[in-house]
Amino acid sequence: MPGIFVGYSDVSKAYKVYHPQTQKMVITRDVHFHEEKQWDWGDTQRNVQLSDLLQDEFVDNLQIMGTADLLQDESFDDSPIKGTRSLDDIYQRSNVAICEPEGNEEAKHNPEWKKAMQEEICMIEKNCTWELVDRPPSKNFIGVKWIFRTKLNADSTINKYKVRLVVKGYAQIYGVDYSDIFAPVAGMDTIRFLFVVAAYRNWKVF
Amino acid sequence: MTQEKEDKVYILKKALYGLKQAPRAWYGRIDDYLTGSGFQKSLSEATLYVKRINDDVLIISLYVDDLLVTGSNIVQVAEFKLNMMQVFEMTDLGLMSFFLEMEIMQSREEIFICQKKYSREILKKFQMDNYKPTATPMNQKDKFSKKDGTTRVDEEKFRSLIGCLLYLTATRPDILHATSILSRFMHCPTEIHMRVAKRILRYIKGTCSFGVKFLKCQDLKLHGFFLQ
Repeated sequence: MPGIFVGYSDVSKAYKVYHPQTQKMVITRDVHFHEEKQWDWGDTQRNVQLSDLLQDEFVDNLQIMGTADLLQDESFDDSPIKGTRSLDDIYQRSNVAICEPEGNEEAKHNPEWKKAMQEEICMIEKNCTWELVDRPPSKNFIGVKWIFRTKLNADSTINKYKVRLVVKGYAQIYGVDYSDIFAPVAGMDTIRFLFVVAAYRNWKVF
Repeated sequence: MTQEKEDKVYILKKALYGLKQAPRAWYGRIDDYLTGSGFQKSLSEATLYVKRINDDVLIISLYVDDLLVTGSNIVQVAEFKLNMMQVFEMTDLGLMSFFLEMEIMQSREEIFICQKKYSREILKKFQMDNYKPTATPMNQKDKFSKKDGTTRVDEEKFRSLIGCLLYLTATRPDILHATSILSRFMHCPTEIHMRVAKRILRYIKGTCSFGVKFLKCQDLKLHGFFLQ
């Protein structure tokens, strides 16, 4: 059956051949090339569409003769296996970076960050955290800085722009600005004991 | 004192993030509130608060800004939660199901705790998720010493691994012995120690979902033991 050579198979060492009569593409190794001959496109009307389609590509208009035995098993057993990956995994590999501003100067120009900063200041004012006073001459003063973080949802979409005003705690002097800084946390034993009691008494833990 | 502004400064009345005393300030604040509202602090555990109302009790355990609440009267628990939400702008996460890397399953007359997710994370962290599981955490007759002739391994990695295993012992008493023996060699880990540590990980791999189950029992007696 005559056909047109259109290229090479991606998955096996074979030729891709188009048969205009059957309008089918086959992958075969059993071909004889007729290098001098050309395909006569004029005789079949229904091939017009296809010839348009193939114009852009490099098509060697070689007419071939031969029996196109399909290399069924052989040609498909080494096709690449494509697994699925979670979106999270892809994001992790694809170097998607979210820029967070370094300081106040940088953040001022972004409306999202500016809004978040205003909210944080509002919160501080609301809690009456500080009061503006004259600078006492002999006291140590400590700077503050802004921390900007983009909080993501589990599916890597942006949840919110979080801004915190933090104190540069390292500038504090022990004994002058602070003395005791320890605060207790619950031990694992305590937490487990709580569960023991709750289970025994049939209580629920919240 | 904070933030210069020419000759003006802000005087801090309350703690701000990053301040050295911030955690303590928070603890002081919540301690004041809890003791002020009738809770009694445990003498030996500063994070355990108990309140008795008539015949009912309310127990609270504090973990910085996470609170575990339980009690005999469900109405009182709800009331307390509502109170806390108003005073501290806290959110109610409902029935406890995940706390400090611990999965908690509460059903009728039993509470089951495990660290399945955490176990998987450790296995991934130390690239052990493809190893074959073993049935036991350790060989019975293994003896270890500081100098066993094998080369030293990366101390940092070993320490990190032991740290992870120690945290896992919270719900896995079965690896406690093996982990505690290995933790004696934190300062001089050798290849043999590392191999044994990895064996524990392989054991974990096959037993990820193990945990501790607390059942309601008929009579709970607390036994104390003294060593002379």
